[in-house]
Amino acid sequence: MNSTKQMLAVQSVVQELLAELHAKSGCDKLRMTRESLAEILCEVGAKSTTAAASETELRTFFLNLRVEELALARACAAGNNSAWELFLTRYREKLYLSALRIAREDSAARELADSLYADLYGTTTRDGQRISKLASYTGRGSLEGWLRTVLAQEYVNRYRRTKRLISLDEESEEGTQFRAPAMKEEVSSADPRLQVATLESATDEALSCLSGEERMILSAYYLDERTLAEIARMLGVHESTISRKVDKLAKSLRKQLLAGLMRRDMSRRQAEEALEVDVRDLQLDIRRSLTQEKPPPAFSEKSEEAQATDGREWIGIPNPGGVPNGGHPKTSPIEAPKKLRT
Amino acid sequence: MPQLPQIVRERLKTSPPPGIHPDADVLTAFGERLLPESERAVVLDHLARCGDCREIIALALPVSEAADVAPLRNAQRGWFSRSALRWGMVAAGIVAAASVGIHQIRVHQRANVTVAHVTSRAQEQEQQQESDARIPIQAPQAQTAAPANSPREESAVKSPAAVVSNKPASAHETKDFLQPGRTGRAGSAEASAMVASGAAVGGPRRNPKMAMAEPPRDLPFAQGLRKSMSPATAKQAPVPAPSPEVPPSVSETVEVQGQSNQIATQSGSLSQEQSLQGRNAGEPQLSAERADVVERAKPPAAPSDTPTAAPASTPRWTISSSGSLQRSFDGGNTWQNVAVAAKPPVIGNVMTAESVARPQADKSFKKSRSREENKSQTPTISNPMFRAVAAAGLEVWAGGSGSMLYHSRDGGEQWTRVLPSAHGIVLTGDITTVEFSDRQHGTVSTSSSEVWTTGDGGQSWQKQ
Repeated sequence: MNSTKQMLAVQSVVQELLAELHAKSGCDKLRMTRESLAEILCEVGAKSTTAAASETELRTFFLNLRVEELALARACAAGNNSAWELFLTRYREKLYLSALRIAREDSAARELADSLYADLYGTTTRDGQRISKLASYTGRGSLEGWLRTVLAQEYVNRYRRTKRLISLDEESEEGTQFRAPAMKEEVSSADPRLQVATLESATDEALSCLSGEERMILSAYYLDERTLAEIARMLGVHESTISRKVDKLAKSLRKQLLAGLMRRDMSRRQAEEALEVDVRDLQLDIRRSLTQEKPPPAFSEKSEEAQATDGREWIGIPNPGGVPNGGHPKTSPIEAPKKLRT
Repeated sequence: MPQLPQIVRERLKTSPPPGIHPDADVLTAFGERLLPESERAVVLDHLARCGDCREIIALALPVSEAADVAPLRNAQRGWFSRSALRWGMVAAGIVAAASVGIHQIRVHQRANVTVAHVTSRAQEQEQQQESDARIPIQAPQAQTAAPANSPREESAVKSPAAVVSNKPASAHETKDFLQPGRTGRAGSAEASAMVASGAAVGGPRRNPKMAMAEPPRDLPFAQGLRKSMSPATAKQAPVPAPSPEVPPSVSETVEVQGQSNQIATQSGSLSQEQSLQGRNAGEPQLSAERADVVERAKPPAAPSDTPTAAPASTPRWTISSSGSLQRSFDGGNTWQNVAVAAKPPVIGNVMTAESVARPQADKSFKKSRSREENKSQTPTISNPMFRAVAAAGLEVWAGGSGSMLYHSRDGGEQWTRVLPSAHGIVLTGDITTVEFSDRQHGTVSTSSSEVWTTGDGGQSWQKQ
């Protein structure tokens, strides 16, 4: 019901703007009829707008469309030779340059570009029809930008495939038995585990207060290690804006985390210490405690006693010669290799 | 950048897995900031959780913008740019002060030159008069000069082309020609001319204050008038008057001056009253005006002989320090004096007898003087004292003292005298500026603060 209503609204707006859009699209050069353009526009409109879109929204949507590039892409997808010629003269060089920039290496760039050409031309067929990737272009952004995005997607997909292979190796090597949820359920009273859980919940709470953009900036800066300039360009704002935002976000997050931890019955000092601790170390402690708890049952009693008195000592018990450095078993000869691996 | 607690990084990584990835269209539109706000927020939320899509966006950034990043980074070095700015400001200040100083010095020098020039003029005139009183030694030099007084008159009438030499004849002719409509307007031409000559001759001696300013304006005119009044005695040669002629005119002058000490004739004035006003208004400003004229005629870069703006192919024009019109065909390297042949004035709407008589007389004097200076060979040509010149291609307009305005359509070969007039009013005073924006539209302003404009290349004039 809603979709038919939306379709009707789209159609009426398309009919209204068709003359203008047709003039803008330069369809005549591509020997594309006005009717086929209207069809394409309706399809794009139905795909990219929501049923709730008002008529003015639809109107702005269509007026902002890159009709000329859309017509070119669709003409190429339909196998129009003159359109292909135009497309290649316009974009061949740019496509290769973009591929080179993404792959950073000549042969890989050529491979990437070639595979994209194959997709664009449509090597796969369905019902005897070539399916060109260009048919999925809707003209919302520039065709050049779209081509770059498709290249990047292709590149990331490949990278992801290879990455997945590696990570599978790692997983099989390390095993999956140490996943956090299982851990938590198993031992909830252990101090490091409790600390991790507290930290995690406080962190999630603080993070949930951030907007999508703020989280994205944090992730891009701290996880992807993008430069401020790159993030600025991704978001289309000035570099100094991003710089200010990252600085502010990191500080406010820290404050909120401290406040959250203190609400969770930690003293300020404890909370600050908890934040300084490398969580991977804490998790390692948990891992260690698990490995130590299960296989040697002889230690279980002692460990329970130790647990009752002091968590730190409890860690030190299996290796009394170890350094009592706040539970960091870095010097432990048994655990050292595992830590290095992570 | 502050460090983020490790736990935050970990939790950022382990955010709930994103749902469906946005397609290339949406990502492109996001990267190009074309998405509506609501949709953008959705994509941002996805990007916050999805490292792959973040990477796609980053990889798909346009290549060209990479170049834009460099200036951005440079711009971040605030202290550097700020200090550079600071020094730039200081430098700009110094340059501004220096240029103002230089300009002041130039203006000052120019004024000095003008005053010096005017002074030398005055001395020259005095010398001339003295020599008049003695013997016409230089008379033979003037090739156009008639051997005797009466024959000259005849020759002048006979050869109209020799407009320059026969002042009286042309003056009378024009007067007759104009007389019908205009007799009642002012006193007789002779009367006003007498006053004018008297005041002019006496002026420099009696009133030392005005000595510098007056002679160049008044003497040529007055002397010319004097000659025109007494054709038999007037000399066209550089050193004109035979000794018997001079004493009477001097005595007349003294009388007139006795009556009106302050009266000085403005060369273009029609009546005594007008001249009085004109003088009072005009004199104090004289040096300033002249400096102004010099400035207008010459762009600041070349103070001495700067031509008026004209295409390289056409001659460039300037006014020499002695008031003669000069042109240059080689872009200003060498200058030659241009002789302006005085033809009967082109009459605008109406013209007074006086106005015709006066300029003619004026011209005759200047002609003789300039002949002396320039040693010009042609009898019919002389150089009056010019003050402003404007050229547009081959069209040249030159104006000077005594409401003298000449127009040439062929780059200075042939000249026509133009006397702007409208509704019975004629241009009076010395022409100080001549500006022609094109062949048709021009503006002429005078020392008596009149501004005349034409919209048809000088055929008709309007006073403003």
